[in-house]
Amino acid sequence: MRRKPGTLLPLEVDILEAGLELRRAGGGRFHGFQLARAIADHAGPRPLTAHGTLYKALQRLEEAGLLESQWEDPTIAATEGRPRRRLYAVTGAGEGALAARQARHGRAAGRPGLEPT
Amino acid sequence: MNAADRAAAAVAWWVVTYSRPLPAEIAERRRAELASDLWEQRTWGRAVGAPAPAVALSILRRMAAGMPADLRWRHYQLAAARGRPLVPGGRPVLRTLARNWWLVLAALVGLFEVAFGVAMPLEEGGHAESIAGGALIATAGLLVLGGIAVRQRRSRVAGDVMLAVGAMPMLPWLWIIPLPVAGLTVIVAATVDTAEARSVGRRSAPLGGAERLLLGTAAALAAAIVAYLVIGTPLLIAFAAAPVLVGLVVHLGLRRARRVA
Repeated sequence: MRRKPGTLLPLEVDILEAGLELRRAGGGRFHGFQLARAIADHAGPRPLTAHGTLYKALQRLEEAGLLESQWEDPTIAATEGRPRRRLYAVTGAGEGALAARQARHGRAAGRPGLEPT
Repeated sequence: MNAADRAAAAVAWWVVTYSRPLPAEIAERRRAELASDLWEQRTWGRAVGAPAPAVALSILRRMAAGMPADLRWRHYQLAAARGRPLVPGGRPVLRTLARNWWLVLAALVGLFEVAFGVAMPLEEGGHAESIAGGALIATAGLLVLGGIAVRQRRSRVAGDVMLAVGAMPMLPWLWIIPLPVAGLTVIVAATVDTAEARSVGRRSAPLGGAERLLLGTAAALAAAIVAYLVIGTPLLIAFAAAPVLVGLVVHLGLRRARRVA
């Protein structure tokens, strides 16, 4: 998809907003499915984001420096008997990009990511 | 193994399939992230008491809706691994044509349908059936041409729906092979384009009255084509009434949806 440098796609806005909200709720870092749920919960009656779409967008945001990620400690996953999670966090640059976007669009910070109709 | 586990296995197979030619580290990261996601979704489903078939459907929908993004990601990663430029080279006109070739085909389909729809009643002596058939095909052609404009200027998804429905009258002409092939190509391309538009979460400007009417016409035309294929030409009353009723329902539904939004 072609777009102007520095602009955010609606899904990327949703990801950053949901990530910040999870952080405010005390979650700190978040994993992919947690994020998909947060987006679906907060953006109204909306299905979970598709796998390919979500992880491609996460990688794009990480490459742009708006998110950072790391694998969780494998011993935690082993203890809980589940696959290891890739944990993400919104960076300062991500917060800044979101704030700039919201300022451009004249929107108050926070959720939801839906455009006014 | 329940339905959700089988759906998760299908996703795991799909991930392994599309990530196979990629560098091991990149492929492994994607597979591991998906394995975690699938585990979390099934665990969450059990925690909230969701039936396994419902969780399975959700998993499969997420897989299907994400396929265009998966394939584009794979293409991107392959290009990066081979050191090729990620932005295609060549002249801007050729690049634009490479991205929008199917819209050129759709425009040809639309023009053909309009021309054929006008010519048909003239050719066949102007009796009621040929006028109705001609009007239907010409309307489909106008819908295709309108869909291109709506897609470019207002709503990509609404435009794609109009394009797909408008190309449907090309399908029954099996004896002239290029026509159904062209129609089917437009329908498939429009469907993929819709999936892609939805996959990036791009939201469009709210539809205006004219566009809602066009979308209603798309639904009506689809109903007319189905009615034509199912009950044949003699039942012109149903043929004429179904589109009007469906168009009205769609129009009212969209108006209500907009009011709620």
